[in-house]
Amino acid sequence: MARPVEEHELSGLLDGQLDPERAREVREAILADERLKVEYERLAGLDQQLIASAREAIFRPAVSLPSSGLSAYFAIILAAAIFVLVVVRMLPKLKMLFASAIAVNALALVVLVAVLVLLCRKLDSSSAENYPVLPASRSK
Amino acid sequence: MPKGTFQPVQQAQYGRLIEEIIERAAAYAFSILGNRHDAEDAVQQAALRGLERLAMYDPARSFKAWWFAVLRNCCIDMLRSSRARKAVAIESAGLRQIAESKASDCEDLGAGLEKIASEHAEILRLRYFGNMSYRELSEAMSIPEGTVMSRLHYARKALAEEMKAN
Repeated sequence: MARPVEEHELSGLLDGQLDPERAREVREAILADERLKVEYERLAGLDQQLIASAREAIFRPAVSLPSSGLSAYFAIILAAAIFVLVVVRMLPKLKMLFASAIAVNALALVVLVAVLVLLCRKLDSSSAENYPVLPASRSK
Repeated sequence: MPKGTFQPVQQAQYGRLIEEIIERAAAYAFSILGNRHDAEDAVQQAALRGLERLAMYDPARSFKAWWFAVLRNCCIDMLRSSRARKAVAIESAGLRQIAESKASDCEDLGAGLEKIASEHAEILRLRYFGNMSYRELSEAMSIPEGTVMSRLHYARKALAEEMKAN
């Protein structure tokens, strides 16, 4: 024999949260009890009103996020690769003094790129208008 | 995303996660704030604030529940700063604005949500406007999942009674 329907199980049935056997028992109880039927229909009606109101409220706003910084790391890696290329390929062919000057300049270039990238990231993080991540669209 | 180990690559994941829920987030913010402009601002603020606090997000939790909590705080902050501009009851304004072409039903809903207990209004707002599952509601409201059904039920009942009384 099915246990009595608890009041909140009406909402459970409405939300599809009852297991199939219990859902069947609750439906049968609703059909057999006018009071339960009235209450369930009242909740179901309210449920539909709320669903309709929520659907009308849906829209897609434009939201932007700061850049992730991946391009910044790429720039640093590229500068370091150029430095290594200079050191490996060119220095053995040059006189020591000239080679030292080239190496120092290449290292300075890497440091400069890194500083510029970090400065740009600091500016990026203080601004919300970098690139649109989520474009707005008309509401459904 | 491991807790406390925020890395740049996670920002892309964060953006994708936001994109999945942004429409419902906008609807939820709209139901609180009453107009699309403010709702859009609140969602933008929440997107940035959530990014700042991403290291505090526990991946074991629902991202949606966590981020909606951030969004709700942004909406509350906006309400506090713009309280003087509100000519009508705040919590019902959004529904009333929606309901221009569906006069009585949505106005009753708006008025009803305004008058019932805030925890009842909140769970209804999260369920319908936020489209949250029971599990997400459990996390968002910090209540056991087994309690969600009864909490929702009594919220619906309170709203129905309020609408009937009006």
